[in-house]
Amino acid sequence: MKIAGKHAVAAERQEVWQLLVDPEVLRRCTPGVEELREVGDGEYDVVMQLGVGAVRGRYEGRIKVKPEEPGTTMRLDVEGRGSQGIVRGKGVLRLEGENEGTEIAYEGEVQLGGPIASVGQRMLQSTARMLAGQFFTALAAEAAARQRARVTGQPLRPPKHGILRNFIRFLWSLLKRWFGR
Amino acid sequence: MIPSAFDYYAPKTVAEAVALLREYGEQAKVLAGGQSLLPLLKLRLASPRVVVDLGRIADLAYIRREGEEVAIGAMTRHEEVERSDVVRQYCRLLAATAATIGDVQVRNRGTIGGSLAHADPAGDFPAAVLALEGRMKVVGPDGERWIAAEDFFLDVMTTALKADEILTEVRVAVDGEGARSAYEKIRQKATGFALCGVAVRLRVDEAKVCQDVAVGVTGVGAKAYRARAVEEALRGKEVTEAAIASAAAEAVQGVEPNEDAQASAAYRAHLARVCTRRALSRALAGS
Amino acid sequence: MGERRYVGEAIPRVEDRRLVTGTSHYVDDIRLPGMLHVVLVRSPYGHAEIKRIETAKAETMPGVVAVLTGEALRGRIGSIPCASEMEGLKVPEHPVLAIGRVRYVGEPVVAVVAEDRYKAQDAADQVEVEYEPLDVVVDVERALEPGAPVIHEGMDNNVAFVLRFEGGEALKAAFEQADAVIEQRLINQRLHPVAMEPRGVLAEYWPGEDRLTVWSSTQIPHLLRTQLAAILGMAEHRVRVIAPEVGGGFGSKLNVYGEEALVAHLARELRKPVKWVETRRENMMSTIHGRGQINDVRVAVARDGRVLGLDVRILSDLGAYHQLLTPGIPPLTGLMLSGPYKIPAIGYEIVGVFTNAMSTDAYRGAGRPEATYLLERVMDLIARELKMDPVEVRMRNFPRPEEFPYETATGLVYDSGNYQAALQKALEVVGYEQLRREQAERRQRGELMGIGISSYVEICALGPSAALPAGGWESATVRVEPTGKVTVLTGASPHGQGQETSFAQLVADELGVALEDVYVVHGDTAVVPYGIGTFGSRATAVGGTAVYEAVQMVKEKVRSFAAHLLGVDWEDVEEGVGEYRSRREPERVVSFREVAQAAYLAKSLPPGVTPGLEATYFFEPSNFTFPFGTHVVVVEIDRETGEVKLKRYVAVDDCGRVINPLLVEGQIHGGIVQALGQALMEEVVYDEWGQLLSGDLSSYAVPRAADVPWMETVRTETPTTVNPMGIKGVGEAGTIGATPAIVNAVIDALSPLGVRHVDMPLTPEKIWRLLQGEAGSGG
Ligand SMILES: Cc1cc2nc3c(=O)[nH]c(=O)nc-3n(C[C@H](O)[C@H](O)[C@H](O)COP(=O)(O)OP(=O)(O)OC[C@H]3O[C@@H](n4cnc5c(N)ncnc54)[C@H](O)[C@@H]3O)c2cc1C
Repeated sequence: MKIAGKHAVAAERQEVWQLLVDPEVLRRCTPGVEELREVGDGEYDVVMQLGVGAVRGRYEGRIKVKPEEPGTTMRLDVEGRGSQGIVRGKGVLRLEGENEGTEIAYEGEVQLGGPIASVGQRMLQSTARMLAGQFFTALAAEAAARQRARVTGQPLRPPKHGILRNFIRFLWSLLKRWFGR
Repeated sequence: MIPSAFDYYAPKTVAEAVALLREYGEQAKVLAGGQSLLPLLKLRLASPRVVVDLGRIADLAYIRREGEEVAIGAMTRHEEVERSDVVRQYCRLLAATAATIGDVQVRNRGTIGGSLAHADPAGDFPAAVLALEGRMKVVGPDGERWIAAEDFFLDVMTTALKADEILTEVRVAVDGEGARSAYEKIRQKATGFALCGVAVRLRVDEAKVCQDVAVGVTGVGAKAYRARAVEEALRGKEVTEAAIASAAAEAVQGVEPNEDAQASAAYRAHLARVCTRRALSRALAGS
Repeated sequence: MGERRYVGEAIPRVEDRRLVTGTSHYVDDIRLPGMLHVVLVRSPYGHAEIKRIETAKAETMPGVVAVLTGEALRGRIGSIPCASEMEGLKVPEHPVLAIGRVRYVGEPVVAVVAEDRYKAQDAADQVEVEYEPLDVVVDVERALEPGAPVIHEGMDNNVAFVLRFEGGEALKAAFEQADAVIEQRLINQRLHPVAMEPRGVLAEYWPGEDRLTVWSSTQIPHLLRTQLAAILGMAEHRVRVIAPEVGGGFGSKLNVYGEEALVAHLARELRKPVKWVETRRENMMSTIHGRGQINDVRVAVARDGRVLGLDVRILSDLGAYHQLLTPGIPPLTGLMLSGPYKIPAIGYEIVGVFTNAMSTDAYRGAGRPEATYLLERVMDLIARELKMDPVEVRMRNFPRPEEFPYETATGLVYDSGNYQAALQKALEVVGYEQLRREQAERRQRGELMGIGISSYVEICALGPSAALPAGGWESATVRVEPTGKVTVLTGASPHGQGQETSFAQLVADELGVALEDVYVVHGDTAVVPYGIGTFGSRATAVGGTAVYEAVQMVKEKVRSFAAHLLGVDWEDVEEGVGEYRSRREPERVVSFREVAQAAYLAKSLPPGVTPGLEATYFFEPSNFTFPFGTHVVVVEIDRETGEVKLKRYVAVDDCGRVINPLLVEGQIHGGIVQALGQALMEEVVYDEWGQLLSGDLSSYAVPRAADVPWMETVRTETPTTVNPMGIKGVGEAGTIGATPAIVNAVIDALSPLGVRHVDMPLTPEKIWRLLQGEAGSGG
C-alpha cells in the first residue's frame, strides 16, 4: 500500500534535519514507542505499542534511518513483528524550504503480513497516514520547544507526546483541515 | 477466533461504567452490540484486560422526541432505529441509513452508539449524523458534555471520546417543514459496509431554491466528513439536475480518498460523486 | 421394481431438519472427556528460512501439554501424500510442520497442545520463531523466469511437471487450413472454496486395543484412513475414520491434510483425545484453493464457424506443495478441451508451477470449469471475429445426437447427448430472438445490456478405476433388519448433497417400504464397507448404482423368503407395497416385516438360501458419464458504477435420470451461485510479498442471497447407458455451465465499447475502468 503526504514544520530545514537524526527525538515522536535503542549507525531496535481505536498491538522491530542527502533526503526502513503479524514500511523523506518553514514530504510503501494482512489492509492507508501525522505533529512540537528555549533562554523542556496524544490527535485533525490535507 | 482472557464487568449504571473506565483507562473496552468489538477480540487484534458491557444498563436504549430534537440512546439497535415510528416521522434519514447496515443479524445486535464510537471509516451512521448535524452526549468522570458530530469524528476509528468516557445519547434535529433526505450507498460486497455512502438532507423552497443542505460522506476517507464544497455549490441556488451534477463533482474536495484491495482511490472518489448526485436527486424528488 | 412412489418425486431432504435446527453433530460438536486442543503457529512469511524456534516460554504456560516443531516430528510422521502420478512429476517433501523453511503464508510451523483452546492460543502467541525472509514468488510466470527464487531446494526451477498432448487430426495442418486463427489469454483466477464448516479433526487412541479413531470433516473417510495409516505407520484396520456431519467441501475436503495426521499422532503420543478446529482465517490460508490457471488459447476456424483445431498452453499455479490431487487437476482441463464440440485436432501443453502460495486442488468442477470457460469464451470470440451469432457458432460445432457415443480428440467417449436440444430449449425459455431485438434497441439508447450463452458438457460419475488414482468404484450394503427396517450403508460420503434422501427414495421404492423406514448410513469406516467418497459428481451415479445393485440382490432373497412363506413358487409371488401375495390365491399375503423376521429367525429356510437379509455390491462403472446443458444469462451494467445486474438466468441441464428433482435443482442453484462468485466477485489475492490479502470473509466476497438472481431451471433428460438407472450426475454442472455464461453476457454488454475480453472477477471497478476507456483487451 502506497502512502504519501506533506507536513509543514515551523522551523528551519537544518534544524528539522537535526531533530530527525536525534534518537531521543525519534523515540519521543514515533507514535507508541516504548523502547528505542540504537544498535548501529542509524539503526534502532524498537518496541512499539501501536493502535487505532480498539485495535492495539505490541510490535518489536527495527528502524533504519539512512541519510541519503544530508539535510534534504532520508530513507526510512521499518520492520516490526508482533503476535498480530508483521508490519513493513519503506519510505523517503524529503525536506524542502528555507528559513522559518520546512515542508517534509514523505512517500513510501507499507505492508502488513501474517494474521493482520487481510483484515487490516482496509484500514492500513488511513492508519499509516494518521501515524505519520502524529509523528510529524510531535516533531513540530519538538521544533517549537527548541525555538521557545532559544527565545526565552530557558533550558529545553521536551514536550511529552504520550500524555499529549489525545490533544495532538485533535490538533492534527485541525491541522489537516487547515492545510486541506 | 479465540480471544485473550479479560475481566468482564456488567455495570448497572452509567456512573459505575464510567468508574470502571476511569480505573482501567486504556486497558478497558466498552462492549455495546459487539459487532465490531467481538471480531477484534476473536482475532486478538484487540486484547483489553477489562471489558465493560453496557448491555445491563437500564435505559440506554430509547428513541424519543425531546423538544425540537430526536434523542436516541446509545444502546439502541440498528433495527430499532430502522423501524421506529419516531425516527420515521421526524428524522427519516436515520431509518433509511439503518436499513442499509450489514445484514439482519448485525442490525439486530449492533447499536447506534457503538457505530458512532467505533468510527469505522466505512460506517453508515456517521455520515447520516453528520448530515443531520447531530450532537453526542458523552459522560465521563467529570460529568457530561456535548460534542457536535463534526467535532466528534477525528480520524480513522478515532473520535473525541476519551478512554474514560461513554457515549450515551445522540440527538438530531427534527425534520423541519419540507425537509427531504436520502441515503445512497454502494456496498462493499463482502461485508455490506459502505464502499461509499452519502447522506443528504435538503430543504428547497417553492422555486426549488436551496434553503439548506447538508451532505455527509462515509467510506471514502479516513473518517466520515461533511462535503462542504457540495453544500456551498447548492446553497441559495436553484436545485436542478444540472446544479446537482455540478455540485456533486465536489464530493471529495479536500479529502484524500482511501485505497485498499476493495477499491482504488480513483474509484472511491468517483463513487462519492455518483452517490452524492443520486442522493441529492432522490432527496429532491422527495422519495 | 415395486411401485414407484418416491423416485422422481421432489421430496424434501430428510437431512434438513437436523441441519436447520442446529441439532446435528459436526466435529467441533463432539467432545470427549479429557480432550486436549491444538493451536498451530503458522508462518506469517511467504518464503523464509526458519532460523530459530523458541518454545521454552510457551511450554511453561499454564495448561500447556506439549509444544512441537517440525524437527521434533521428523521421521515420526510421513510426508503429506500426493496421489497423482505422472511421468517426471516432481514431488517435494511435504512435512506436517515446516522444517527449515516456510514456503507459503499459513504454513504450520509449531503445534501447541493445551487443555483448552484459549490456553493453547495464549501459548502459541508466546512461541517465537525467527525467520530470515527469502525472495517470494507468487506469480506463475515470474516463477518460470530464469533467476526466480527456487522454492524447493535441490530443484533447478519451479516446474513440477510438463504434460504435452496432441490428439485427433494433425494440429499443424488444422492451423494451416484455417480461415482465421484466434488467440486469447484467459485467466482462471484462484478461488477459496469457503465451505460453510471449516476443517476439523478429533482423534482418540486406545492403547489397550491399539485402536485409533479419527473424526474428520472429510469427503473421503476410507481413503483418508488408508493414507493416515501409512503416514502414521499403523495397520489400516486399527484406524477408524468417521466423517460426522460435514458442512460442505466442494473438493476442499477431498484431501489428506497435515492436521489430520498431526492430531492423530498427538492423540497416540499423548494418550488423550486431541482436537483441532480450523478458524476461518486458517481455512482461507491453508485449506486448498481452487482453479489458478492461465490459459493461452489458439483456435483455428473455418469461415463457416467450424473449429478446426485447438491449441492451449495451460500454466497451472500449483502452490508451494502438492496436496492429494494437486497435479491431477489441470490434466482434467486438458481432457475436457473438446467440450460439447467436435474439434478434430486438439493439442495442449500443461506446465505445473510451484509458487509461494497454498496448494491448489479440486474445487467444484476441478479442471473442467477451466476447460468450459476457455471454450465458451472462444466460441464467443469466434462469433465476434466471423460476425456470427454465438448460437450459430455453437450449433455448427455440436456433434449430432446420432453421432453418440462420440469420441473426442482427447480420447474420451461421450455416452449420450443432445446438445442442440438443450441449447434450443434454453433459447425458447429465455426468448432469445426477442431479447436480441430488445438489446439492439437499448444499445441505441446507450444502455449496456448483454446476453451470454454457455453450452457445456461435463465429465461426471468419476469414474472408471483405471482413470483415477485410487479407485473409481463405489460400495453399498443394503440390510433389511429383523423388524423390517432398512439400513443402507454407502461408501460415498455425502456432505450436503442429500443422498440420505435420494438413496432412501431409491431403496424404499425397490423394496416397497416407507421412506422413513430406510436409514442411510455413511462416513464411518468401521461401519461402512470400503468406499471411495463423494466428489466428481459421482455419489448418485456410481454410489447410487451400487445401492441399486445391492438392493436387487436383497430383493431376490426377499422374494425367496416370501415364496417360501407363501408356499408358492418364486414366479408366483406378486410384489405389492410392503407385502407379497400369491398370484394364484390372492388372499394369501405376507408382509415385508414378516419376511424380514423369517429371514433372521431362520426357523425354516428356503432351499439353498442362507439366513439374514443383506447384500453388498461394489459397482465399477465402465465409463464416465457426460451431462450437458446450456445456460443463458441476461445482464445489465450500470454505466456509472460498473455494477453488473443479472436480470435473467435460464439453465437447461441434462443430468440423465433424476431421483429427486429438488436435489437436482438445489445442486444447480448452488453451482450457479458459486459460479457467479467466480465470475463477478471472488479472487484469492496474494501480494508480491506473498501475503494473503483475501484471507478472511471481510475481504473475500462470496455471493449472498441478495446477489443471486431468480433462476429458471429446466431439464432435458437423456439417460446414460453407463449405469442401469441412467443417472449422470449433477453436483458440478451449475458451476461449470454458469461462469462463462455470466462472463459472456458481461462482455457482450461491453462489446459496443470494443471490449473483447476481460478477466474474472468482473468487479464493478474493473468494468468502470473499461467504461473510462482504460483498455481491457480491445480490438
Ligand atoms: C458482518 C458485519 C457487517 C457490518 N456491516 C456494517 C455496515 O454495512 N455499516 C455499518 O455502519 N456497520 C456495519 N457493521 C458494524 C456494525 O454496525 C456495528 O454494530 C458497529 O460498528 C458497532 O456497534 P456495536 O454496538 O456492535 O459496538 P461494539 O462492537 O460493541 O463496540 C465497538 C467499539 O465502540 C466502543 N463503544 C461501543 N459503544 C460505546 C459507547 N456507548 N461509548 C463509548 N464507546 C463505545 C467499543 O468500546 C468498541 O471499541 C457490520 C458488522 C459486521 C459484523
